[in-house]
Amino acid sequence: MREAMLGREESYRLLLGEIARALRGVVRSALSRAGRGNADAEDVVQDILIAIHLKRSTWDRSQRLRPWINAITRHKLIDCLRRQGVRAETPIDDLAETLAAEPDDASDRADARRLLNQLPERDRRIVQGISLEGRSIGETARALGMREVAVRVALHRALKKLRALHRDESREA
Amino acid sequence: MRTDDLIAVLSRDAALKNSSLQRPLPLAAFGIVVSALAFAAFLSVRPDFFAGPAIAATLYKWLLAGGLATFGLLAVLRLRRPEADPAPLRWLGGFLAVLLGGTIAHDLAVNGSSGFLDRAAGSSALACLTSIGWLSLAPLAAMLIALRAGAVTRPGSAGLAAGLAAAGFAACLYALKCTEDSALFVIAWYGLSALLVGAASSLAGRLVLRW
Repeated sequence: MREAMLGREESYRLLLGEIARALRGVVRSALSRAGRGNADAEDVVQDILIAIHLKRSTWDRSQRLRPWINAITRHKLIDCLRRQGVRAETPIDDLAETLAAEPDDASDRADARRLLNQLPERDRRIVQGISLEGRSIGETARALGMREVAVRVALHRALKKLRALHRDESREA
Repeated sequence: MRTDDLIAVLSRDAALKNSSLQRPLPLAAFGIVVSALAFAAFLSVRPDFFAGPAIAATLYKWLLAGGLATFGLLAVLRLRRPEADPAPLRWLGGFLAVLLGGTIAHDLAVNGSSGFLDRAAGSSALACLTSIGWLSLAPLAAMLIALRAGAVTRPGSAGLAAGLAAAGFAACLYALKCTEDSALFVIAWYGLSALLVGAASSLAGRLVLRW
């Protein structure tokens, strides 16, 4: 887990996958306890993953990872529930206590793709090239005629923008 | 976007570059330097600074204000992380409260209760409030920026901590100029300044420390 944070892309991917599986269980049980369906669960999971990603510098490497992830998860869940007009006073279980769950494709809705389409052209191509076509940073850089560093920075910004869009959408909902 | 795709994108962004511009201590130091420059530009060290009684009084102010600044800064460092446990901070806060209570008791024992309010009121209360308020702006902004880069799960408390720390730093500077040497004045007006800055900063924290 530690080395994943230091730029090893493959281990980071595995770690995020593991976290996502654990999050699904937590998010679904929190949503159902708040009396809401699973329709938003995947959006909330993604929101938490992005938060974990953007805030990973605040994890103290000498500490255990799990309490840190739990704290972020709790914060984002309360935030999501509150934003959607539900008072979040239900206790939220720690990751360890819930079963891992597989993605629910039915809740993987098309409007998430619409979100991607709201990004500026270049950002969208970077995110799409890397996610859908599985290209590396280097390949994307060559395809767009950009330097690798510039692609990394643009990717980072695009992720932040995606998150902001994400947030606006669920606020309107 | 499917979650697996999102994960693929995130993992390409794995490398973490540490920006020292977002670390709390260098930022706070920068804020303090800005305030010190402002002090040099607009205020001046009290003329009798090197006389015996003035030094003792200034040291006492530094003890209180420095204690507040240290307390606030430690709290900022702690509350910057999402899983922060604020329990040890209560002990530090309690220690400050005992220090304040002890000072008031000492003053009453030495000087008696007559003139208590006069000693507390002093003659430069307004200058004290406004100077500490202005001087705390730069360190306060610096610490809120550092907190924004962190992952704060208690924005109100974190804002309050930043405000108290900033007011503590500002009070350390203002102590160089302030000619009021009654401990009661220091507690009443330095304390009120710190509370005002802290309350404002706590509100600001709720607004700007969301993520």
